[in-house]
Amino acid sequence: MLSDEQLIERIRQGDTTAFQALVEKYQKKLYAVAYGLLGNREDALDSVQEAFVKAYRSLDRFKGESSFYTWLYRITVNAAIDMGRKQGRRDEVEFLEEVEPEEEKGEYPVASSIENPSQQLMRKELGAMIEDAIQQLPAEQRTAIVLREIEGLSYKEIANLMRCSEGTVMSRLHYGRKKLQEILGPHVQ
Amino acid sequence: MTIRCEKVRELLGGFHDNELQGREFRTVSEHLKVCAGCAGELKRLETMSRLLKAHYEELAGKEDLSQVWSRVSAAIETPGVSDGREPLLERIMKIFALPKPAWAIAGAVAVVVVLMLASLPGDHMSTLAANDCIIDKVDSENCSFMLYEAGATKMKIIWVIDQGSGETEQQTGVTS
Repeated sequence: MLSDEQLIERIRQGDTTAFQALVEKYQKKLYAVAYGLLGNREDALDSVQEAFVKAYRSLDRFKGESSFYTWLYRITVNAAIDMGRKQGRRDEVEFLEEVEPEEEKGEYPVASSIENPSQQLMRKELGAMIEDAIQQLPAEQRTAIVLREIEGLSYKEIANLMRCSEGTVMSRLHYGRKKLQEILGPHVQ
Repeated sequence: MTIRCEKVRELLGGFHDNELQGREFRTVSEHLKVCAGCAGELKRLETMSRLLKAHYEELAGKEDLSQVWSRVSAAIETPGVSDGREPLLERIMKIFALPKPAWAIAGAVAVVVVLMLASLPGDHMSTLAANDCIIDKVDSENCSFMLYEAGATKMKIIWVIDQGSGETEQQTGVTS
Protein backbone atom coordinates (compact mmCIF):
# COMPACT_ATOMS: atom_id res chain seq x y z
CA MET A 1 0.00 0.00 0.00
CA LEU A 2 1.38 3.38 -0.98
CA SER A 3 2.06 6.07 1.61
CA ASP A 4 0.37 9.46 1.42
CA GLU A 5 3.61 10.99 0.17
CA GLN A 6 3.85 8.45 -2.64
CA LEU A 7 0.22 9.01 -3.58
CA ILE A 8 0.71 12.78 -3.61
CA GLU A 9 3.71 12.39 -5.89
CA ARG A 10 1.58 10.35 -8.28
CA ILE A 11 -1.21 12.92 -8.18
CA ARG A 12 1.28 15.60 -9.10
CA GLN A 13 2.23 13.52 -12.09
CA GLY A 14 -1.42 13.50 -13.18
CA ASP A 15 -2.60 10.20 -11.71
CA THR A 16 -6.12 10.91 -10.43
CA THR A 17 -6.58 7.33 -9.21
CA ALA A 18 -3.96 8.16 -6.58
CA PHE A 19 -6.20 10.99 -5.39
CA GLN A 20 -9.13 8.58 -5.32
CA ALA A 21 -7.10 6.40 -2.96
CA LEU A 22 -6.59 9.36 -0.62
CA VAL A 23 -10.27 10.29 -0.75
CA GLU A 24 -11.31 6.75 0.12
CA LYS A 25 -8.76 6.58 2.90
CA TYR A 26 -9.90 9.67 4.76
CA GLN A 27 -13.51 10.28 3.80
CA LYS A 28 -15.07 8.53 6.79
CA LYS A 29 -13.09 10.36 9.44
CA LEU A 30 -13.72 13.67 7.76
CA TYR A 31 -17.40 12.93 7.24
CA ALA A 32 -17.85 12.12 10.95
CA VAL A 33 -16.36 15.45 12.00
CA ALA A 34 -18.25 17.41 9.34
CA TYR A 35 -21.50 15.74 10.37
CA GLY A 36 -20.84 16.60 14.00
CA LEU A 37 -20.27 20.24 13.12
CA LEU A 38 -23.13 20.61 10.65
CA GLY A 39 -25.73 18.18 11.92
CA ASN A 40 -26.97 16.67 8.66
CA ARG A 41 -25.66 14.33 6.01
CA GLU A 42 -26.18 16.53 2.96
CA ASP A 43 -24.17 19.43 4.34
CA ALA A 44 -21.55 17.06 5.72
CA LEU A 45 -21.16 15.41 2.31
CA ASP A 46 -21.00 18.81 0.60
CA SER A 47 -18.32 20.10 2.92
CA VAL A 48 -16.25 16.93 2.61
CA GLN A 49 -16.54 17.10 -1.17
CA GLU A 50 -15.58 20.76 -1.15
CA ALA A 51 -12.60 20.06 1.07
CA PHE A 52 -11.28 17.31 -1.21
CA VAL A 53 -11.71 19.50 -4.29
CA LYS A 54 -9.92 22.39 -2.58
CA ALA A 55 -7.15 20.07 -1.47
CA TYR A 56 -6.73 18.71 -5.00
CA ARG A 57 -6.58 22.16 -6.51
CA SER A 58 -4.20 23.43 -3.85
CA LEU A 59 -1.93 20.42 -3.82
CA ASP A 60 0.96 22.44 -5.24
CA ARG A 61 0.85 24.53 -2.12
CA PHE A 62 1.10 21.51 0.18
CA LYS A 63 4.75 21.50 1.21
CA GLY A 64 4.67 18.49 3.50
CA GLU A 65 5.43 20.51 6.63
CA SER A 66 2.55 18.73 8.36
CA SER A 67 1.02 15.40 7.45
CA PHE A 68 -1.35 15.34 4.51
CA TYR A 69 -4.18 14.34 6.83
CA THR A 70 -3.51 17.31 9.10
CA TRP A 71 -3.65 19.63 6.13
CA LEU A 72 -6.77 17.99 4.74
CA TYR A 73 -8.41 17.94 8.15
CA ARG A 74 -7.95 21.67 8.56
CA ILE A 75 -9.44 22.33 5.12
CA THR A 76 -12.45 20.14 5.94
CA VAL A 77 -13.18 21.72 9.31
CA ASN A 78 -12.88 25.18 7.79
CA ALA A 79 -15.18 24.18 4.94
CA ALA A 80 -17.74 22.87 7.44
CA ILE A 81 -17.55 26.00 9.59
CA ASP A 82 -17.76 28.20 6.53
CA MET A 83 -20.80 26.29 5.31
CA GLY A 84 -22.46 26.63 8.70
CA ARG A 85 -21.77 30.35 8.65
CA LYS A 86 -23.17 30.78 5.15
CA GLN A 87 -26.34 29.06 6.27
CA GLY A 88 -26.72 31.62 9.00
CA ARG A 89 -25.94 29.43 11.95
CA ARG A 90 -25.56 31.35 15.15
CA ASP A 91 -22.21 32.79 16.24
CA GLU A 92 -20.05 30.50 14.16
CA VAL A 93 -16.42 30.30 15.14
CA GLU A 94 -13.55 31.78 13.21
CA PHE A 95 -11.50 29.79 10.73
CA LEU A 96 -9.12 27.27 12.08
CA GLU A 97 -5.36 27.25 12.32
CA GLU A 98 -2.80 24.51 11.97
CA VAL A 99 -3.38 21.38 14.01
CA GLU A 100 -2.06 17.87 14.20
CA PRO A 101 -5.06 15.58 14.62
CA GLU A 102 -5.05 11.90 15.42
CA GLU A 103 -3.61 9.85 12.63
CA GLU A 104 -5.72 7.38 10.75
CA LYS A 105 -6.66 4.42 12.90
CA GLY A 106 -8.49 2.38 10.32
CA GLU A 107 -12.13 2.03 9.41
CA TYR A 108 -14.85 3.07 11.78
CA PRO A 109 -16.87 0.20 13.14
CA VAL A 110 -20.51 -0.33 12.23
CA ALA A 111 -23.04 -1.08 14.96
CA SER A 112 -23.47 -4.70 15.84
CA SER A 113 -25.94 -6.48 13.59
CA ILE A 114 -27.07 -8.85 16.36
CA GLU A 115 -29.13 -6.21 18.16
CA ASN A 116 -32.82 -6.96 18.41
CA PRO A 117 -35.33 -4.50 16.89
CA SER A 118 -36.01 -2.88 20.25
CA GLN A 119 -32.34 -2.23 20.85
CA GLN A 120 -31.97 -0.89 17.33
CA LEU A 121 -34.86 1.48 17.91
CA MET A 122 -33.37 2.68 21.19
CA ARG A 123 -30.03 3.24 19.53
CA LYS A 124 -31.67 5.18 16.74
CA GLU A 125 -33.63 7.34 19.16
CA LEU A 126 -30.56 7.97 21.27
CA GLY A 127 -28.59 8.90 18.16
CA ALA A 128 -31.23 11.44 17.19
CA MET A 129 -31.16 12.87 20.71
CA ILE A 130 -27.38 13.16 20.64
CA GLU A 131 -27.43 14.99 17.31
CA ASP A 132 -30.17 17.30 18.49
CA ALA A 133 -28.32 18.01 21.72
CA ILE A 134 -25.06 18.78 19.91
CA GLN A 135 -26.82 21.15 17.55
CA GLN A 136 -28.38 23.02 20.45
CA LEU A 137 -24.95 24.04 21.71
CA PRO A 138 -23.48 27.43 20.87
CA ALA A 139 -21.12 27.05 17.92
CA GLU A 140 -17.93 27.44 19.93
CA GLN A 141 -18.95 24.80 22.46
CA ARG A 142 -20.13 22.48 19.70
CA THR A 143 -16.88 22.81 17.79
CA ALA A 144 -14.81 22.15 20.90
CA ILE A 145 -16.92 19.11 21.77
CA VAL A 146 -16.75 17.65 18.26
CA LEU A 147 -13.00 18.16 17.96
CA ARG A 148 -12.45 16.59 21.37
CA GLU A 149 -14.97 13.76 21.43
CA ILE A 150 -15.01 12.65 17.80
CA GLU A 151 -11.53 13.51 16.66
CA GLY A 152 -9.79 13.20 20.04
CA LEU A 153 -7.73 16.38 19.74
CA SER A 154 -5.80 17.67 22.74
CA TYR A 155 -6.70 21.00 24.35
CA LYS A 156 -3.59 22.53 22.81
CA GLU A 157 -4.61 21.38 19.33
CA ILE A 158 -8.16 22.64 19.81
CA ALA A 159 -6.84 25.96 21.13
CA ASN A 160 -4.64 26.35 18.04
CA LEU A 161 -7.54 25.54 15.78
CA MET A 162 -10.00 27.85 17.48
CA ARG A 163 -7.49 30.64 18.13
CA CYS A 164 -8.11 30.73 21.85
CA SER A 165 -6.35 29.71 25.04
CA GLU A 166 -6.37 26.19 26.45
CA GLY A 167 -8.26 27.59 29.42
CA THR A 168 -10.99 28.77 27.07
CA VAL A 169 -11.11 25.33 25.47
CA MET A 170 -11.51 23.77 28.89
CA SER A 171 -14.28 26.21 29.72
CA ARG A 172 -16.12 25.58 26.43
CA LEU A 173 -15.91 21.84 26.96
CA HIS A 174 -17.07 22.17 30.55
CA TYR A 175 -20.17 24.17 29.74
CA GLY A 176 -20.85 22.22 26.56
CA ARG A 177 -20.75 18.93 28.41
CA LYS A 178 -22.87 20.28 31.21
CA LYS A 179 -25.55 21.27 28.73
CA LEU A 180 -25.34 17.93 26.93
CA GLN A 181 -25.81 16.14 30.23
CA GLU A 182 -28.88 18.22 30.97
CA ILE A 183 -30.38 17.42 27.58
CA LEU A 184 -29.45 13.77 27.43
CA GLY A 185 -30.41 13.26 31.08
CA PRO A 186 -30.84 9.61 32.05
CA HIS A 187 -28.92 8.31 29.04
CA VAL A 188 -25.64 9.43 30.53
CA GLN A 189 -26.28 8.14 34.06
CA MET B 1 -21.83 19.11 47.47
CA THR B 2 -18.89 20.76 49.22
CA ILE B 3 -16.77 23.66 48.01
CA ARG B 4 -14.07 21.10 47.27
CA CYS B 5 -16.57 19.15 45.12
CA GLU B 6 -17.44 22.29 43.15
CA LYS B 7 -13.79 22.98 42.49
CA VAL B 8 -13.13 19.37 41.49
CA ARG B 9 -16.08 19.29 39.11
CA GLU B 10 -14.73 22.28 37.27
CA LEU B 11 -11.56 20.29 36.71
CA LEU B 12 -13.23 16.96 36.10
CA GLY B 13 -13.45 17.40 32.32
CA GLY B 14 -9.73 18.11 32.16
CA PHE B 15 -9.08 15.06 34.32
CA HIS B 16 -11.27 12.92 32.06
CA ASP B 17 -9.39 14.24 29.01
CA ASN B 18 -5.97 13.59 30.58
CA GLU B 19 -5.20 17.28 30.44
CA LEU B 20 -4.46 17.92 34.12
CA GLN B 21 -0.98 17.93 35.56
CA GLY B 22 0.74 18.42 38.87
CA ARG B 23 -1.25 19.76 41.78
CA GLU B 24 -4.57 19.89 39.91
CA PHE B 25 -4.24 16.26 38.88
CA ARG B 26 -3.40 15.19 42.43
CA THR B 27 -6.25 17.23 43.91
CA VAL B 28 -8.85 15.61 41.65
CA SER B 29 -7.32 12.17 41.90
CA GLU B 30 -7.28 12.18 45.70
CA HIS B 31 -10.78 13.62 45.91
CA LEU B 32 -12.24 10.95 43.66
CA LYS B 33 -11.06 8.25 46.06
CA VAL B 34 -13.23 9.61 48.84
CA CYS B 35 -16.18 11.24 47.03
CA ALA B 36 -18.75 8.96 45.45
CA GLY B 37 -20.65 11.92 44.02
CA CYS B 38 -17.71 13.23 42.01
CA ALA B 39 -16.68 9.70 41.03
CA GLY B 40 -20.21 9.24 39.67
CA GLU B 41 -19.92 12.51 37.78
CA LEU B 42 -16.71 11.27 36.18
CA LYS B 43 -18.49 8.09 35.11
CA ARG B 44 -21.22 10.19 33.48
CA LEU B 45 -18.61 12.12 31.56
CA GLU B 46 -17.06 8.88 30.38
CA THR B 47 -20.43 7.49 29.35
CA MET B 48 -21.26 10.61 27.39
CA SER B 49 -17.92 10.58 25.60
CA ARG B 50 -18.43 6.96 24.62
CA LEU B 51 -21.93 7.66 23.36
CA LEU B 52 -20.85 10.65 21.27
CA LYS B 53 -17.86 8.95 19.71
CA ALA B 54 -19.74 5.73 19.04
CA HIS B 55 -22.66 7.57 17.47
CA TYR B 56 -20.63 9.63 14.99
CA GLU B 57 -18.36 6.73 14.14
CA GLU B 58 -21.41 4.57 13.51
CA LEU B 59 -22.94 7.27 11.32
CA ALA B 60 -19.81 7.50 9.24
CA GLY B 61 -19.53 3.71 9.10
CA LYS B 62 -23.07 3.31 7.78
CA GLU B 63 -23.01 6.15 5.27
CA ASP B 64 -22.49 5.20 1.65
CA LEU B 65 -19.49 7.36 0.92
CA SER B 66 -18.81 5.95 -2.52
CA GLN B 67 -20.59 9.03 -3.86
CA VAL B 68 -17.85 11.26 -2.42
CA TRP B 69 -15.31 10.21 -5.01
CA SER B 70 -17.79 10.42 -7.88
CA ARG B 71 -18.71 13.96 -6.82
CA VAL B 72 -15.10 14.97 -6.25
CA SER B 73 -13.90 13.52 -9.54
CA ALA B 74 -16.69 15.29 -11.43
CA ALA B 75 -15.79 18.58 -9.75
CA ILE B 76 -12.05 18.41 -10.33
CA GLU B 77 -12.59 17.64 -13.98
CA THR B 78 -14.84 20.67 -14.33
CA PRO B 79 -13.06 23.91 -13.41
CA GLY B 80 -15.24 26.27 -11.45
CA VAL B 81 -17.41 23.56 -9.89
CA SER B 82 -17.82 23.21 -6.15
CA ASP B 83 -15.15 25.36 -4.60
CA GLY B 84 -15.36 27.58 -7.59
CA ARG B 85 -12.24 29.18 -8.70
CA GLU B 86 -8.59 28.64 -9.11
CA PRO B 87 -6.33 31.04 -7.27
CA LEU B 88 -6.16 34.47 -8.88
CA LEU B 89 -2.48 34.19 -9.70
CA GLU B 90 -2.96 30.85 -11.46
CA ARG B 91 -5.84 32.22 -13.50
CA ILE B 92 -3.80 35.22 -14.62
CA MET B 93 -0.96 32.85 -15.51
CA LYS B 94 -3.31 30.75 -17.60
CA ILE B 95 -4.75 33.76 -19.39
CA PHE B 96 -1.32 34.75 -20.60
CA ALA B 97 0.02 31.19 -20.75
CA LEU B 98 2.76 32.15 -18.33
CA PRO B 99 5.01 29.27 -17.29
CA LYS B 100 5.97 30.54 -13.82
CA PRO B 101 4.36 32.62 -11.05
CA ALA B 102 7.26 35.07 -11.29
CA TRP B 103 6.11 35.95 -14.79
CA ALA B 104 2.61 36.66 -13.53
CA ILE B 105 3.93 38.82 -10.71
CA ALA B 106 6.20 40.69 -13.10
CA GLY B 107 3.25 41.13 -15.45
CA ALA B 108 1.07 42.43 -12.63
CA VAL B 109 3.76 44.94 -11.64
CA ALA B 110 4.01 46.04 -15.26
CA VAL B 111 0.26 46.50 -15.44
CA VAL B 112 0.28 48.64 -12.31
CA VAL B 113 3.08 50.81 -13.70
CA VAL B 114 1.30 51.26 -17.01
CA LEU B 115 -1.92 52.05 -15.20
CA MET B 116 -0.19 54.76 -13.22
CA LEU B 117 1.15 56.24 -16.43
CA ALA B 118 -2.22 55.91 -18.08
CA SER B 119 -3.86 57.82 -15.27
CA LEU B 120 -1.67 60.88 -15.85
CA PRO B 121 -3.68 63.84 -17.18
CA GLY B 122 -3.88 64.11 -20.93
CA ASP B 123 -2.34 60.77 -21.67
CA HIS B 124 -5.22 58.36 -21.76
CA MET B 125 -5.19 55.31 -23.94
CA SER B 126 -7.77 54.69 -26.54
CA THR B 127 -11.13 53.13 -25.74
CA LEU B 128 -11.86 49.56 -26.80
CA ALA B 129 -13.84 48.98 -29.93
CA ALA B 130 -17.25 47.34 -29.70
CA ASN B 131 -16.21 44.27 -31.68
CA ASP B 132 -13.35 43.36 -29.32
CA CYS B 133 -13.81 40.00 -27.72
CA ILE B 134 -13.50 39.07 -24.05
CA ILE B 135 -10.97 36.30 -23.56
CA ASP B 136 -11.34 35.97 -19.81
CA LYS B 137 -12.39 37.85 -16.72
CA VAL B 138 -10.98 37.50 -13.22
CA ASP B 139 -12.72 39.00 -10.22
CA SER B 140 -10.91 39.71 -6.99
CA GLU B 141 -12.24 41.32 -3.88
CA ASN B 142 -11.52 44.88 -4.87
CA CYS B 143 -11.19 44.86 -8.61
CA SER B 144 -11.80 42.90 -11.78
CA PHE B 145 -9.32 42.08 -14.51
CA MET B 146 -10.68 41.59 -18.01
CA LEU B 147 -8.66 40.43 -20.93
CA TYR B 148 -9.84 41.56 -24.37
CA GLU B 149 -8.52 40.99 -27.80
CA ALA B 150 -8.88 43.91 -30.16
CA GLY B 151 -10.63 42.66 -33.27
CA ALA B 152 -8.70 44.75 -35.77
CA THR B 153 -5.18 44.62 -34.38
CA LYS B 154 -5.32 41.32 -32.42
CA MET B 155 -3.75 43.21 -29.56
CA LYS B 156 -4.52 41.81 -26.11
CA ILE B 157 -5.75 44.41 -23.67
CA ILE B 158 -6.23 44.24 -19.94
CA TRP B 159 -8.97 46.20 -18.23
CA VAL B 160 -8.64 46.76 -14.51
CA ILE B 161 -11.89 47.90 -12.97
CA ASP B 162 -11.94 49.29 -9.47
CA GLN B 163 -14.99 47.72 -7.79
CA GLY B 164 -14.76 50.09 -4.87
CA SER B 165 -15.45 53.31 -6.71
CA GLY B 166 -17.59 51.74 -9.41
CA GLU B 167 -16.59 54.63 -11.63
CA THR B 168 -12.97 54.38 -12.54
CA GLU B 169 -12.13 52.13 -15.42
CA GLN B 170 -8.62 51.99 -16.63
CA GLN B 171 -7.06 50.07 -19.43
CA THR B 172 -3.75 49.30 -20.92
CA GLY B 173 -2.41 47.59 -23.98
CA VAL B 174 -0.08 44.64 -23.81
CA THR B 175 1.94 42.99 -26.50
CA SER B 176 -0.08 40.99 -28.93
